[in-house]
Amino acid sequence: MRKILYIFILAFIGGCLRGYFTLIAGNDHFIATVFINLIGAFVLAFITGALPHLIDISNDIMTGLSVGLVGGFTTFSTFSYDSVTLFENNKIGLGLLYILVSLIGGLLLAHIGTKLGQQFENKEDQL
Amino acid sequence: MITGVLIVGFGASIGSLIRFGVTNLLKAMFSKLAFPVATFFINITGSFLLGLINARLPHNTFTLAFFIAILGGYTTFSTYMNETVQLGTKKKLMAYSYYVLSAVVGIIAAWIGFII
Repeated sequence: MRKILYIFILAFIGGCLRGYFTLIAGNDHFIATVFINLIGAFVLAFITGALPHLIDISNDIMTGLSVGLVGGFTTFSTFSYDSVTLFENNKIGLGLLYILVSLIGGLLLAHIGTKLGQQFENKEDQL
Repeated sequence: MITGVLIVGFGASIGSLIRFGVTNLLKAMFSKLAFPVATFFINITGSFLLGLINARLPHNTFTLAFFIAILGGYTTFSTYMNETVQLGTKKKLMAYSYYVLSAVVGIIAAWIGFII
């Protein structure tokens, strides 16, 4: 039950952050979505690796942060729909760029986040 | 502005809880599969529904904004990327399939939702 509450509250914060960045970006909202998704891919990898080794954190809060905060912050449906909108408006080049930057950047940042997170795991082993 | 932000936040809360429930359910049903069925299902259905509601619901309404917000929180990009990285350490071919299929099927699903 506590897990549900953490997800609800933290997803609200994650969603508000995404809403804020998307709304201030105005017509360039798809650029905001790219940044949001790239940052989220990195943060999720990093916190799941590093946070349990840095602070005493309960499983419930960890789920709230990963499923709620970061999960609510990033979005896949907007990524898909934005791509369709760009193609429908004949912005083929921009559409392809949007897809490639999201996918390649997202994977790269998730990879870097994982590697950085593992550093903390190793540090704790040395102590 | 502030109303828009709060709608996205509240929608994300509801959407994330639905994702949490669906993930637990599908993980229990397909516990033997290494392929991330749950996130794949969530992202494809979420993309389809976003295409559908954008085509069907009247624009600039609270109802549309609220449903978009729920789907934004329901789907996830961060987990998709992290599952790809984790899968890549064990099953490379499956990781590539998941990575490419999610994007291709997701975009096609959004498009089908929009045109039907």
